[in-house]
Amino acid sequence: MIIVQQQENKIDYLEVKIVSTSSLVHMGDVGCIQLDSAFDSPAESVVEGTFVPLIPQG
Amino acid sequence: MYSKIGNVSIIDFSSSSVLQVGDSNNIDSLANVFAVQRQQEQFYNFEAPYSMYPIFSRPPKPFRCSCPPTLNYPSKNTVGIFRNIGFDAASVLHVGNTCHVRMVSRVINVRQLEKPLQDKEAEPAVPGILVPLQPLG
Repeated sequence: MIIVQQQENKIDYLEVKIVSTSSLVHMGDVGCIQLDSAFDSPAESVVEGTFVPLIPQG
Repeated sequence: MYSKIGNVSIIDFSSSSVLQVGDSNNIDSLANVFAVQRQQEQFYNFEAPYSMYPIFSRPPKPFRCSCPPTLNYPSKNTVGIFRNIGFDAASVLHVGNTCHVRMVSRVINVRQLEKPLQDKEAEPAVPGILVPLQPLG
């Protein structure tokens, strides 16, 4: 166990517009941060035609 | 050991978001998002099960924390003023100490556009036809 003395983290003013999906605003100490994002919007995801469900219903 | 926010201003906290003031041990956040945007306001239920798309079944990396356990004493985390408009799904605002954080996000965007008018006349729309959306992978 490591003991750290007199640790102080301070922010006077913080303004953020938007925090996106699974994002983190963190103030303080942390051992480990893992971020894993996958964003998929390929060409075939743009479909044109009659407005019907994407898969068969029922 | 204390954590403190003087003034917080947040307009919107979306689904499964967390505001945590104080220490924690583990934060494990997961967001699966299938977003459909249509040119007309039409919505159906259960259109796209996650099982159709491999991106949602991709497992996140396992926890791995190689740093030694640390105790910060006395620790002070202070935020004077925090202003924010919106937190999206499964986001975290954390003031304090923690050990391990894992934030996982899987997002698919689909846009469905109306056919141009000349195409509609040449090829009349058949009610009930399925849009050939292929599973992404």
